[in-house]
Amino acid sequence: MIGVISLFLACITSIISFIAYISRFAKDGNNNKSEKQPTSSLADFSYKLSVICIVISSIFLMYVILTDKFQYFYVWSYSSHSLELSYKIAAFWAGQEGSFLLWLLIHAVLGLYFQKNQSMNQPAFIAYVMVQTLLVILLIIKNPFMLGPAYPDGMGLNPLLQNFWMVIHPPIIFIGYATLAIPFSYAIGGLISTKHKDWIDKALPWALLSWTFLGAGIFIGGYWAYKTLGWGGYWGWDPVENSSLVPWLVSGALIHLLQLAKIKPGAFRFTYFSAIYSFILVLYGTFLTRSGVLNDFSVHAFSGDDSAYLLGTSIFIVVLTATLILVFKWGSVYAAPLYQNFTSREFMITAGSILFLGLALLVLVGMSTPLITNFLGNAQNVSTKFYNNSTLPLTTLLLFMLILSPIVTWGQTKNVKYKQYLFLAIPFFIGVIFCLYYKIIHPLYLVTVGLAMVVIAIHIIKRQLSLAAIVSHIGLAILCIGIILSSVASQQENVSLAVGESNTVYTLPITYQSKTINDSHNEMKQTFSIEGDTISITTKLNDLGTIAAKEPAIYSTLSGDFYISGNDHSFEISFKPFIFLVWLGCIFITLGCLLATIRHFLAKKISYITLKSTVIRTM
Amino acid sequence: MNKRHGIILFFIALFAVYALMEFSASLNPYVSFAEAKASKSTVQVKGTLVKATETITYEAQQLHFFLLDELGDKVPVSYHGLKPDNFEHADSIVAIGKYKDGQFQADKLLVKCPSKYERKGETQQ
Repeated sequence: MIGVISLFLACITSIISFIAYISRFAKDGNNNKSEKQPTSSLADFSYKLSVICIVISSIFLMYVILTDKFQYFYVWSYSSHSLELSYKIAAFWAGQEGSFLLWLLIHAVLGLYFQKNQSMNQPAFIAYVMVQTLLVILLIIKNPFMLGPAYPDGMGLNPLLQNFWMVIHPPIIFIGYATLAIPFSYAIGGLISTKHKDWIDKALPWALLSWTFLGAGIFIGGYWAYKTLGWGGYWGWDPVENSSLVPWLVSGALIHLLQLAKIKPGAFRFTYFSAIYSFILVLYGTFLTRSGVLNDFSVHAFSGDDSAYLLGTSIFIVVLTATLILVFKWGSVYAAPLYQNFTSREFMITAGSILFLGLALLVLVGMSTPLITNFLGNAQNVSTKFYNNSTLPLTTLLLFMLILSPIVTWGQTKNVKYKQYLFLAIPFFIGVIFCLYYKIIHPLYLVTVGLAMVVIAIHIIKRQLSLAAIVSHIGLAILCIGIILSSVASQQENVSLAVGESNTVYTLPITYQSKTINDSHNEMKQTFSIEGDTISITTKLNDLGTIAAKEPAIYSTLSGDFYISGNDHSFEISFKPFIFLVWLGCIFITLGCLLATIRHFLAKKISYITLKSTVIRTM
Repeated sequence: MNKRHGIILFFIALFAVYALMEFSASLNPYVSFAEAKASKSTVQVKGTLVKATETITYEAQQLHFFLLDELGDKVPVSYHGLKPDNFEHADSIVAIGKYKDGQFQADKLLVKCPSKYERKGETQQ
């Protein structure tokens, strides 16, 4: 009962504080900066109360999971007596309801911080409370405290999710989602107060933080898919994956634009757009994947159940409000040109951001197609070919911009001696020859890998950018090389093998050694030997003997992975050259982002401290 | 300056056309079996698996089975590759491919299994 009551209280108090903040803002107006804020008011009090209620309901959910209260439908669905403690904790965010609660919890606790240090102006904080109210309403629609019959034991956590990476993946993604609401709120606040310059510095570290976490979450999800799903890939352009990729792309543009907006007021409009839409796209993705409108990739499963409409309507209200504010205040934002010269860093950042937004748009169109065509009457879906083919040229162009970014300077680059960069042809052709060796002949792939090699070379040689930018740009280049080599040059063979038989695949003899089922009949291992090592496909079975989860057998070498998946005696064996570059690229990007985040948070703190000390000194 | 912007705009337009072409080429409409038979392009069909065991064969990585669509049409489907996990337990199957030579030749199968909750007689939304 505590759970439901505290959720409802959280909802009521959030709404009260939302309204109270609006009325306070309406009374105070815009120009009360000099006046001291009332230390305690209804708005502040009810906001604090709502955060307390949210914390209580989170603790309560954790409590009912850890103490095996299976009368709660959510606990019954995702936990069981025998589940390990770490997985019981993970059961908190194993389902939709719990993961929404986790998101709300992160949002609310951060809100307390912003309420205390008052770095957000009034309208910005109102926007922040509005998002919190939306999240609480979503949680009441998808309530984790539903009661069911009192079962003696739960269903247990889906074996697919019983994996270290899957335990940490949702919290990381949700930290990314929750913190994207911060630049969003700052932007709304900036638009309403028309103080465009004030929020840029404050929002930047948060935008970087959320980009880091969102990226890390996506990468971990991909790694998990590769290691456990057995369909051979780390990325499938699946709606759930896309719905986190699109905000990541838009906020990728945002972190670059925020840096540009610090020195170029002309970038404000673009920055506002990215800040607001990166979060709106999070909400849209949530709607698309959580409401059931795309159930099982089939629009035929579109069911007009109430929760889909409620979810859609409440998200739509927030989206509409934010869009209207952007549209009405658009005219008040400077409309200066973003750059004066093509050979300037301003132009590179602008072009790079447009490319990020372009990539986001392509993915967005693809993932929305089932929904839109269904409304138009003739449901259609796009195949993954669309994503691969349409994003490739933009990625190539993005790499080209990355090459120029350390060469050009702010303002105008004078006396560019193009001859001194002729040596860059060497890494380019190394990349091309490498591809040709792996029988990649498509010209765009050759150019992309060649350019990526040049990106790495130029960033190492000409260290003009910050260390964080260098590391993450090199990471992106490595990631591109890894993706192309491991997918385009991958080879695949279907073989039938019985126990004891062997087959030579890509010069390596592979022997199917044994097939064993454990005593409790819930795990089957098919063991293979390859170059003296043994690897195995692990199949987890549930009570009825159906397959609950399957882990492929992977033999990693420096030149690539041998990847075996399959069923009884027919197997799909593939060789994925240099797939470790994909992971390496992801690690580099995340490290670079982390560096930038830490640097900007420290810079904020230092400037705050120096400001304080100068104030003290002058006194 | 303006000339360069013109060139940039031209390439953006060119790319937009390319993206649009890729888009329309990769569209797979959801259709009934009757429409699939008439169509020459790649389509998606959804149906329930006909579970009588003699109708499902899997030899040399070639899977054959029958699907029944909502209108009651029954159609033979063939698929080359690994048999999807839990195939026999499938509730409904989405097949993406073309209708050719008297059967639906699927390039891809999406298998929807009954959710694990149903085995205890529970219904899950």
